[in-house]
Amino acid sequence: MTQRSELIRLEQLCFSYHGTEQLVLDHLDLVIEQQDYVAILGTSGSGKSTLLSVLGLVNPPGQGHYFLLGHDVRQLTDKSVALLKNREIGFIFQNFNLLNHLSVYQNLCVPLSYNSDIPRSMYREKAEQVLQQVGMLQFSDRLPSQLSGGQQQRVAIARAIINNPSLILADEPSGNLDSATAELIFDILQQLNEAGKTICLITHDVGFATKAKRVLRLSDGRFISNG
Amino acid sequence: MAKSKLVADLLQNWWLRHKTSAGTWLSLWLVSLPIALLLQVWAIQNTYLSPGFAALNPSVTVTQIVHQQGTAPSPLASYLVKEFKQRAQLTVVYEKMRWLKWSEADQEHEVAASFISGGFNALGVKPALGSFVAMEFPAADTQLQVAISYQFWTSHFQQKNVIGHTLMLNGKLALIAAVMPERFVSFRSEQHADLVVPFSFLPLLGLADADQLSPDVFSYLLHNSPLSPQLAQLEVELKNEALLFDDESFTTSAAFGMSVRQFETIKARLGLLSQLFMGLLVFSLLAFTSHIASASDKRLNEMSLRKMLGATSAQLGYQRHLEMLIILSLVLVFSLLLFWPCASLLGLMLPDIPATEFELSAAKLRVLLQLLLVVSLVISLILYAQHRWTQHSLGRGATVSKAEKMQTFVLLAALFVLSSGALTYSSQLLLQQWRYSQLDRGYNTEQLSIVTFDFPKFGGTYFVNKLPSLLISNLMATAEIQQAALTSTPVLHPAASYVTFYTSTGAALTGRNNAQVLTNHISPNYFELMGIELLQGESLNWDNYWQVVISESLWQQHFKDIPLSQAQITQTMNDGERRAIQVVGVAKDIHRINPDDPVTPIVYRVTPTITGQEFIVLKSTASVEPLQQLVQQELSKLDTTLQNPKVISVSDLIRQQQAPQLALLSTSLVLTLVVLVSSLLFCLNAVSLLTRKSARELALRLTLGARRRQLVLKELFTLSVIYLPLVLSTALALPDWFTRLDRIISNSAIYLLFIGFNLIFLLFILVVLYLSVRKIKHQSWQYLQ
Repeated sequence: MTQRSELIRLEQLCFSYHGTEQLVLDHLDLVIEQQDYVAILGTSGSGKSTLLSVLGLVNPPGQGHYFLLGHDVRQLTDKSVALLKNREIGFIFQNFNLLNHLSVYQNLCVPLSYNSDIPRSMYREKAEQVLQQVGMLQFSDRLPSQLSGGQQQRVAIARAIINNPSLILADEPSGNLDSATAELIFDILQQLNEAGKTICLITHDVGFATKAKRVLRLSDGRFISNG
Repeated sequence: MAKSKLVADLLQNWWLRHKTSAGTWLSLWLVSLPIALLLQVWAIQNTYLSPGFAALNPSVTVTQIVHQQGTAPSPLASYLVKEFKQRAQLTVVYEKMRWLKWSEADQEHEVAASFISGGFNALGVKPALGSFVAMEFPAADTQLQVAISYQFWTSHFQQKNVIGHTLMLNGKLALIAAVMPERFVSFRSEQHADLVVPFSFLPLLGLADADQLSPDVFSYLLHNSPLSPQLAQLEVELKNEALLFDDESFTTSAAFGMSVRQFETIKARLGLLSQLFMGLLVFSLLAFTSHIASASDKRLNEMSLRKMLGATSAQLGYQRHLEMLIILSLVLVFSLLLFWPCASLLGLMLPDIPATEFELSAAKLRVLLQLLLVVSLVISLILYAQHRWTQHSLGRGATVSKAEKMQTFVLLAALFVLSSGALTYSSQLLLQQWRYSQLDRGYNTEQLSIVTFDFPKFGGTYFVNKLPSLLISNLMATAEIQQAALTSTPVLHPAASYVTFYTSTGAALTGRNNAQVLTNHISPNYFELMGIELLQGESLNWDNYWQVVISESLWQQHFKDIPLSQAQITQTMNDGERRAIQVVGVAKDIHRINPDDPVTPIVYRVTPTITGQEFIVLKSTASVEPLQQLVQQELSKLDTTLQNPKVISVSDLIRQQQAPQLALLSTSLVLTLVVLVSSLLFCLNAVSLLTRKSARELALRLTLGARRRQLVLKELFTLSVIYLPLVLSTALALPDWFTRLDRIISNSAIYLLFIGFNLIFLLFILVVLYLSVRKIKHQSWQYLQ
């Protein structure tokens, strides 16, 4: 068995929204290793979505420490945060968040345009590669409005992995999908994990949560079970 | 009941939403200002440019007619009136104003009388009491009949029946035939008439010397059909019969109660201002609409929520209409509040118009309401389109379209380029005004007044006497006058006298073919009073007429290399003898009329007597009225024929001189202010609306690794692609726009100023964009949920 390195470490992490004193995340400790597959379960208002936003560097951590790939996030500059979000994190949203005025291919190019390591000439190749992975290659010129919900989510997954990130954060990825399509999406996530990606997902579906290697339960901003 | 409850709830909702919204109140004031200015312009038009001010309701068209002889306008001569009547069947009406003496008991009062040759019926004047029948074109030998004004009737006769009563006017008995309508003031703008008298009674009242062709007579044609063809034909016929010379013609004008020239000036300026304020209204409406659209976009959630809570589409529509009504009512109220302050502002912009109470006609108020209806219709259409568009396309991941972005940026660029142009123009004017105020006229202007007075002429032959020195010493003996002097060529006044002088070598003193030099006949203390520095020598004295002081420029031109004692000029006398005149002093050059003009070479000479062409210059802290009385007393003591002193302060003359510049400056500043605030407001709203519509896209891009700077610079780049070519092409045309200005900065400075203002605006947009994106970054997770 190989020794996996640490991807995320939370130490007594707290978070409250601007202008309020109530702790949404209350002294959390957590370690997620590379190639881990973590599902976070919790009721509405438990803080799971906020946790994902902090893990994805969208919201800055409050008290405590958050280490991502060994970097103390609080010490990072705006530029480094943007770089990490672009290269090391891929987001999948419940509502897909595709840009309706752009085609599938152009939506995939959005993260590439902020990645200076990838020349424009490589865009097509990279896009086709990830579309192939999610089975959407034939739809590359379609607009999001011409796709079904499942297809849109597969495009969103393709966009999440196009910069080959270490961590994929998924916020209720099956929330807007029927069970068959949801099954397909979780299969893709499973494959991505097997291919070496670390996945952290939020779900309220216990059935899908069991597909993860670890299941964490969050209530009132605290972990009540740390599997 | 339910509806009134809803109305109360909605009103409260509107108030709570907008009471602290600076943008709402600013845009409301901004749109109200041009409306108030337009209302003022219309009110002035109504007062000055229509016969309405005289309480007339003409059943025919009233056209003022001027008999043009070369460039000199005059009223129609009586022989021409006959021709008009006989050949063209046109009625001519004359009007002039005169003061009459009304004797009542043992007292005499002066009353203003308007002499009119008839046409009451056609002019639509309805008497409050009595009848005008006997006054319509009466013969000169019939009983003198007059109409009294309503105010005169009220104040002197307490509204008793006075028809058939008599008045003693200029020693003649006049029968009161009618009382004028209550609203009637006069047939002239800015004047009031106590009496209206038939024109033909002028000789009967002892005013026969007041020729009906005096320039203050107005003649009008009363007609129903267009005049031009009739007049052209009449002109040809009269010329063929030598009743009219080749350089004579008829000019017509819509002017009523005022001179044609004044009418045309005011009409042109009001027309220009009207167009300008309409343009301003368009700009402020643009900012206003962008604010309304932005505010409406912000509250889409509220409308959705209301719908979810059970509001019907009709109720939501009702809410929109009610809010529109609130906004329009506020615009109306604010416009009326600004109406009176705008009168002072327009006073600055239209220096020709004296401050009077302007009246708005019902027709113009109807235009205002129509204007507001158009505004509400435009805004409703925008809101409806926004509502429809938003509902159909704002879904998951929707963002602002490229076309929308381009439209906004084009408008933004155009507004800011215009603002920069206006700022550059205003800066020029401000600089010009500042420089003007810094110019040295070469004399003191503080506490200075100029007095004119009447004096009988003695056929051009004058004798040296002590009158001038006596007058000056008498005036200076009074406590109110610190200093007094005489001058024949006063500063800031067109009056000037010229004398032919030569140098001792026989060359014209002017250095040109024309040897006439501006000559100021003064009292010896003139230099001291005016603060004009004597660079060499001394001032003049009363006893030696054959001495002069010359101005610095004349000295430099002819005598700079010789001592003052050798400087002489000569004057050719009537008998051909050339007489030498000693130069005893050199005075510093002055800018006599305008500090911008080149200095005027002047010869100063003592005034030997009073000829009636002199002016008194006074240094006094007293105001005009008491000063006038004081001067009258002193003049009467000296000689009873010295009469009618009129005092005008030099500061008033300077104010009059600067009035056109100030008018231009104030107009430019108002325009710049409205355009600038409109542009800034539009920028804030448009950028806020754009970023809000693109919020999800921007949030997503930020989440995918974009930096704020990258997003802002991308938008700025798109804007610059539109903005910069517009700036450069406009900058090239700028010097042409400024040709009418007395330019004090170079073309390159204008370019720099204009481009500098534009760069500041670009920086402003950058900051607004940056702040908007920063706001989205802070809330990006919510936008993506």
